[in-house]
Amino acid sequence: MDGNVFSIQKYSVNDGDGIRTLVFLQGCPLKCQWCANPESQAIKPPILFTGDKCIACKLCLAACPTGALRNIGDIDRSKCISCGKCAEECPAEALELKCKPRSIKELVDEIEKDRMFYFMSDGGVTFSGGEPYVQWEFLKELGDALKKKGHHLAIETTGFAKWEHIEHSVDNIDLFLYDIKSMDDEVHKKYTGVSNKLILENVRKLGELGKRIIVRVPLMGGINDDEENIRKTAELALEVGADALHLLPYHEFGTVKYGKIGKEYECDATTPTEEQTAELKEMIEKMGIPCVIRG
Amino acid sequence: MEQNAAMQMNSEVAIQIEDVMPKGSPEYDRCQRLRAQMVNSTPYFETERGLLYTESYKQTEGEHAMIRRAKALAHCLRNMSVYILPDEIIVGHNNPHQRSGGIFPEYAVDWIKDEIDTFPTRAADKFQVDPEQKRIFLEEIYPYWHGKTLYDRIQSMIPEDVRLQRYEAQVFSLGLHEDGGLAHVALNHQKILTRGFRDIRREIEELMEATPAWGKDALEKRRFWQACLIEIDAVIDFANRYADCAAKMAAEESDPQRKEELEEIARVCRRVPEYPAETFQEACQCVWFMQLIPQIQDNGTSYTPGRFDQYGYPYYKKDLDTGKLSKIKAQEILEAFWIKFSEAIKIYKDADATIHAGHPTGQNMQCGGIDRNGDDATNDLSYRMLESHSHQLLFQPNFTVRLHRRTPDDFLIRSVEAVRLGSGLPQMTVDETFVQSLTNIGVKLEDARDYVPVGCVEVSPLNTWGRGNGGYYNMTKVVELALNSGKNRLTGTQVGPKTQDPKTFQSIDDFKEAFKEQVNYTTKMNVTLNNIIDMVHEEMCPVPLVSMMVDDCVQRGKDVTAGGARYNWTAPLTIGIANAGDSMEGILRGVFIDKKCTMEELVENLDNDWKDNEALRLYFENKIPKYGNDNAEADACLRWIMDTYFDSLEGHETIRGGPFVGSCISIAANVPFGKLTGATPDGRHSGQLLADSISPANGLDRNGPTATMKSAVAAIDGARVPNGVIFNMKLNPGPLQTPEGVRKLADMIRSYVLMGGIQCQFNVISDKTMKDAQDNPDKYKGLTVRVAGYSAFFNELARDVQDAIITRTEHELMS
Repeated sequence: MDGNVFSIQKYSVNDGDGIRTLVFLQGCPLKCQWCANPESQAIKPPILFTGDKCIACKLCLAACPTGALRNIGDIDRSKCISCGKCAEECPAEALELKCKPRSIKELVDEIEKDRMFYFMSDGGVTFSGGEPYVQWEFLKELGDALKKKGHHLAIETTGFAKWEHIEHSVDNIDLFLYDIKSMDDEVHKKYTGVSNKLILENVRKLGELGKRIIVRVPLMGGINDDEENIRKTAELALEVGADALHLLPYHEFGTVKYGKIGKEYECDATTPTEEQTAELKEMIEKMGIPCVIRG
Repeated sequence: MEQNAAMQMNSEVAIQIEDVMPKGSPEYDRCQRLRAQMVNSTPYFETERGLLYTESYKQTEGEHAMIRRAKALAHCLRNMSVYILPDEIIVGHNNPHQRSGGIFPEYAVDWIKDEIDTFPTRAADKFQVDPEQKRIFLEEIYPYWHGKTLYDRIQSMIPEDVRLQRYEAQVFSLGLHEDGGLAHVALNHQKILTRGFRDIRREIEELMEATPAWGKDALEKRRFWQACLIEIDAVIDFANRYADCAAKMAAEESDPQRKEELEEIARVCRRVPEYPAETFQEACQCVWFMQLIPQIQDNGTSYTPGRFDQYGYPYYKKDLDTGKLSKIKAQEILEAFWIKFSEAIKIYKDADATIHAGHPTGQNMQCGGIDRNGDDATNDLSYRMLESHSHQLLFQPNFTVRLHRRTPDDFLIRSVEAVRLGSGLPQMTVDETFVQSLTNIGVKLEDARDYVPVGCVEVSPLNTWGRGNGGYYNMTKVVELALNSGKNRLTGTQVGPKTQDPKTFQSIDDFKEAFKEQVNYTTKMNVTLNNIIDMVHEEMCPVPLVSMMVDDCVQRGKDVTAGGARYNWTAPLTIGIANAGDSMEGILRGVFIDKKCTMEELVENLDNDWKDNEALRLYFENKIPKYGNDNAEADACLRWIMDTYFDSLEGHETIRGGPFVGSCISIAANVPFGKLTGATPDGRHSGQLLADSISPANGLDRNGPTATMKSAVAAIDGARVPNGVIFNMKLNPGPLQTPEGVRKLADMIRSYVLMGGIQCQFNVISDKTMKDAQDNPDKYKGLTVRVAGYSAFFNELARDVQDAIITRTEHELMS
């Protein structure tokens, strides 16, 4: 079985314990306005185009089998089948298709390359996305293969998945980095496109199973950074027995990618001030749960 | 009671990980004043040393070079300026202005005449020139030496085939030693500290007594010993001149504390280096004198103090045990000593100043590592050296932390905390790797364990004349010759053997065959030039003083330049190896596997610098795996290139006896050498810079630092580079601000140690900061960055070297 992997990132030090390799799986049911990896949302990965890298050699036009590439950088995305032939031909890397089908063996081999670093640092592998549970069957197989090699596994998840899909591989996962975007369902729907009901249910079930959880909040100024929301999130974290609550203040990192896939960036969040995040941290810690502010 | 005291005396000084000299303490403030005094000094062009040497040489014409050298040093040490600056505790300067550049006319003078007017304004390493100093040089020094220097002699001996490779194509360059001293040696300071020159004098007199002068051998020995005795007396006199100076200043000093200090300085300088050192201050002063005076004798670089935490420790311990010093007072002495190392700078000619921009004098000091028995040798002084560096953040002493499998975690963490301060120091070397490579070339196990990174990281044991810098050897240029039938692509001149026309290569094996032939030939040319240089240095510029600090020279009655040292070798320094490996991978994959173009098309594109085919160039640059990404195929190509090169060294011998050995250190030569190298099949344009040392080509390592480390271990056989490598990595400073970030970098480094790494060093500074420093140099006067094997003030680097550092891949600790 192959999985759709859009990136493998080594020496990741902010997503779980020790030195880790991140495996980004394609596809996400949420449409968060601030998403930093918009190219990872669709099941069918989009071709990325970076205009200032293009040298107008036109090798891509000849390579496109469907005629989706009408001219340099002009992609008819309704016709594009994401076969990646144009990106393969493009010597300048102006056209890129990040996501590729990859076999379990290929991934395990790549992950094994950094074994010494995980070993020395108590690190391991973190699945990220997209939403990794979109590919829940593949996730189980990959997890099984990596567990056989003794790796520590973490998952970075929105929690928006059928419980059965989470349960399917729950024994493999040592650490859940669990996003709670908003405790207010209306806000959640407005900014992510989905209700938070399932997400909250799932995290409570993980809590009941005694799984190790770190709750993470992407802190979006003016959207979910109010004291009430953070207090409720912290209460939830306490309830599910989370190790810690991480706040990730918003930065406009993803904006440039929207242009590359022919989309507009429409998020109106602001970056919370340092004082504000410090105050939230203090409040959270007073409630009895460690809080880390991540860059 | 007495027994208790004795037991205490035997216990080690308690290790304190935290700093002992807090910011804001009077001791700290004094050391910062000393630092500011040095950083704000203006380097001058100075003729004092050159003029004194000229006076002496005029008086000794007709005598043997060995004696003339000794008498010239003696004349200089007895007449040169002696002065002590405010706040100094450790004393001794080599020029009338602090941190200035003297001249060494016996080595070369023509380039000084040609370039003197550019010294104040040139791109790298500026020196102010006083009109009177210029007059003295042009009228009183230059005319005497013109045509009679070491450089002139070497030039007269270079055969045509060597000349073509050295000057026409610049496949290799030995500029440093054609017009300057050799140096590059780990000085045996312990010997001077424990015995003093008076005892060495006694030993020499006994040897002379036991060696009646009648045969050639004995007469030569006695001539060497005689030179040693002249130099010993001069060195002792020099120290006493400093004692006199301090005593005179003490008599005139009104501040009682400073008066006491000056009196102590006077006492110390009467003691060392004539007698064995007894106190920590004496030890530091003695080491500084014996760093300084060799740098007055010649202008070779990389006189290396070595493992100060080992040989300095007994004095440190004793003063603490007896209560003579508190830790904070010992730290003050250590830091006052530390600052002196940045003062000794030299004037390079412009071409060399580009390669060695920023005054790297290569005075490499180490802490940590294993001892001669293989046990961990970290002690409290090791931590104090890390503290000293962290307070000073200067580019000298070049500073190394030795790591091994059992390095204490506290020590590694403390070292990483020093690394994150961003000056590029300390660099790190891996003991197990060097012990293996050194024993492979015949070094005794316990000597190998006690190895010293010399200069940048030209590793050798004590008592070695390794000639650390055997010239820069451009591996990418050798690939160019293999891809152009031995012709320099930039000029069309035939400089190497006429190997197979590359357009007719049928497989990668044809390339390999051509490369092998070119590399064997080029090595032979480089060996020839190295040996010529050695012969002329032995004949014209022996260095008895240095020889007394390298055993077994005294016992054998032989100068280091004549082969008196216990261990002898020469190590050419290869540069641009990543481009060489990536070029081979380009041919393998681009032409023979993916068949993206023919050999004929490739060679045509190299000939015209990819002018008509940017798409093909980008294909070679972007679409083919590159060294530095943990890609087995790319790494294997570089491995083959390097192994073939190491094979080419086998069987060649230096004139002092001993092998030619491997080393991959570019200093900053990857910039000028790049300018002299045509287009290459890694997609590189003609003239573009080359990769430094064993680092991947700039910007082409895209899989993060762990992948780069693994490639380095896979592609460079650590057992075959006993003379060291440099492995540069650039890290974004942000994530290192937390203890967790420090922990993870430490874990990464320890992994590298365990997997058989060789050396690593980190620039922890953001591109943004460096770009800001380019625009606002005044804001960043003390900003020190790692160049390659050495650190330098960012402001003193030429713009293209600054740019080269900025374009290195910055490894983000990703979130």
